Formats: sequence, structure tokens, C-alpha cells
Amino acid sequence: MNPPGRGAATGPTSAQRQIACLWFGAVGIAAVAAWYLGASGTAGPGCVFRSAVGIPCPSCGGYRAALALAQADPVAAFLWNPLISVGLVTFSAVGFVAPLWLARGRATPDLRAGLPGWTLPVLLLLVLLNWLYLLRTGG
Amino acid sequence: MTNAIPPPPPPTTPPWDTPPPTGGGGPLDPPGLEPIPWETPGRPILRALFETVKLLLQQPDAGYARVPLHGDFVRPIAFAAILGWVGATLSVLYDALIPSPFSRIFPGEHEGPFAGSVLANGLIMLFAPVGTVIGSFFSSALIHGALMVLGGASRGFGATLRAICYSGATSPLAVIPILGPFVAVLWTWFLQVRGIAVLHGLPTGKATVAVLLPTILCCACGAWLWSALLFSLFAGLR
Repeated sequence: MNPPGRGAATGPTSAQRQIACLWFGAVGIAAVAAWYLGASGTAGPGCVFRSAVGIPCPSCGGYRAALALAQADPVAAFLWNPLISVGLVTFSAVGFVAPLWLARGRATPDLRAGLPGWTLPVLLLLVLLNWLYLLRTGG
Repeated sequence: MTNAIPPPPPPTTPPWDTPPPTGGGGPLDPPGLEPIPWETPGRPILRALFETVKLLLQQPDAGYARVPLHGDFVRPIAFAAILGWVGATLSVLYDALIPSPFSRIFPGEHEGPFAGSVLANGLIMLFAPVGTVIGSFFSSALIHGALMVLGGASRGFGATLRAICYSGATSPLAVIPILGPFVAVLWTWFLQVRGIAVLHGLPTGKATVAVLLPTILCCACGAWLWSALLFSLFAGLR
């Protein structure tokens, strides 16, 4: 456990432990729900953007990607929506690891710090490339 | 052999994890302001809930300025859970009486779980608090990510989570006939913008971009995904 002020990280507080548990619980419940929906073959609610405009939105396929991930099929998830699949895997992995990380007294990242200036352009580029992929494959 | 007294054990609580010295404000809280009614100890729950909803709807800036930025998240999360249950219950009851006109505008898209069976509606009301809390967390994570990209997350993830949890004060607006849920969504966005602006000390423009960026980029992929999962779960029970 690092004391505050050492580098960019601080020791875990009770509030950070609560966030870690909330993260773990949210990801866990969402994963169980997605697994159940995938196993029962329940269709998603559809995309309003696609209904109105006729082309997939940048997050089309995200629902099916989440269900595929819950069925332990990362390849199918990636093909449904690459960007959302990577985001879901990252977000879920951190959510599952966070409570264990804090339980071991490890330092937590400082979420007050801003990201480098190139992050936003890169993020926009990734969203654009992901959308082009969905437009090409039909979502 | 000596009878030396062993040194005292180290404290189990790290020094930076101690509560703030005063009952109301922490180091980041504005001095001299009484906490928001929901976070004032000893106040009756229903009265505190009503006063907080009224304050946030009528004076969002003044309300958010009184939200403590220290301590745990039990009260903000409980606020979101209770108001989420209120909103879901109102929607279920209202849709049982008057079908939503949006189901005619988008057939097959919005004729969702609220047109379902008694079992589905009962489960919606039962799990609405948990669903609301999880949705609030996912929304907070997305908006905080946008804040970090924009360089405005100065008060940490806790401030973002509190702003989103207290934006649930708009849930009772679901009682407004026909347009209630639509008004509630717009007002929730407004409250989120004000909450992010006040709690992170940001200009309104930057807070607006942070709140809307996930929606603009990916249809609010994280929060939307959770809504889609909930929708499908309850729609499957019809």
C-alpha cells in the first residue's frame, strides 16, 4: 500500500473498495444476464438508429457481442463489433480483478488525471474505423 | 534476556482513510454548506428523499453544491436505487393503464417489457433498484472516461458517480402522462451536466460534451447495452 502523494497512485480507501465491489457486482450480474440471454437465444431490442436511418450505428452488434462473450466466444464477439468487444473485455477484466487487487493492498490508479492529448483523436479514429467495418459487413 | 515491551501494533486503518474532521464537509467540500438532505444524518428517510428530489429538480446547482465529495457511496447509491424503483413502478402502473404512443411509432422496438405479464411487471419492480444501480455505474464509468479524455476529471470517479446517482431525482417525472419518460430522460441529461459541472468544477460546455460524448460516439454503448440486456430479459417473460 502506498501512502498518498507517492507517484500517481494512492492507497485504497473504503470508498475505493466500495467502487471495486460495485464494479465486480455490476460486471458479474451483467455477465450472468448476458449468458442467460445467449443460452435462451433471446433477441435484442433492435437499434432505433438503424430503424430510422437504415444503416448500422457505431455500436450495432454490441448486444450480440456481449452475448457471445458471455458464451466464451471472443472471436464471434469481435466479428460482431470489434471496438465494443475489446472495451467489454477490458472493462470486465478490470471489474473482476479490482476487488482482488485492493484486497492485496495494491495501489490504485489516480482517476483524476487527464489522459494524454492524443487520446481523443485516436478514440475518434477507432470509432470511425469500427463504424466503417460495421457499414461494410452490414452490422 | 530483557523484559522489553514490544512495540505497539501498527494501526489497521491507514491515516489517509480516516473520516474528515467535521461532520459535514471534507477537504474538497465547500465550507459552510449543510450537506444535501439525503446525506444529513438523523433526518427521516422519506422527508430527506422528498426534500432532496425537490431541491435537485428546482435548484440543481445549489443541490449539487451541497453533495459531499468524501466518504462512502452507500447514500448516493441508495438514492439512485430507491428513485429507480419509484420510476419503474410508476412506468409499469402507467403503461398498464395507458399504452405508450411510442409503441406505435416504433412497432417491435418499444413495445417492450412494460406491456408484459403480471410476472414480468412484478420482476421489473423487484429488480429495478439493482438494475438502476448497475446502469448508474456503467453510465458513470463512460462519462468519467470521457472526462478523463477531455481532462476534466479533477475530483475523481466518486464525484462522477455521485452526480449520476443524484440525477435519478428525475424518476418521479414518469408520472407525467405520455411524455413523462421522455421528459425524464432529457431532464436527467440536464441534471447530469449540472452535476458534473458543479462537482468537478467544470464549465457547462465541457460538462455537456463529457455527458453526451459516449452517446454521440457509440449510442452510450455501455449504459445502452445494460438497458438492452434488461429489456430482453423482461421481454422474454411475456
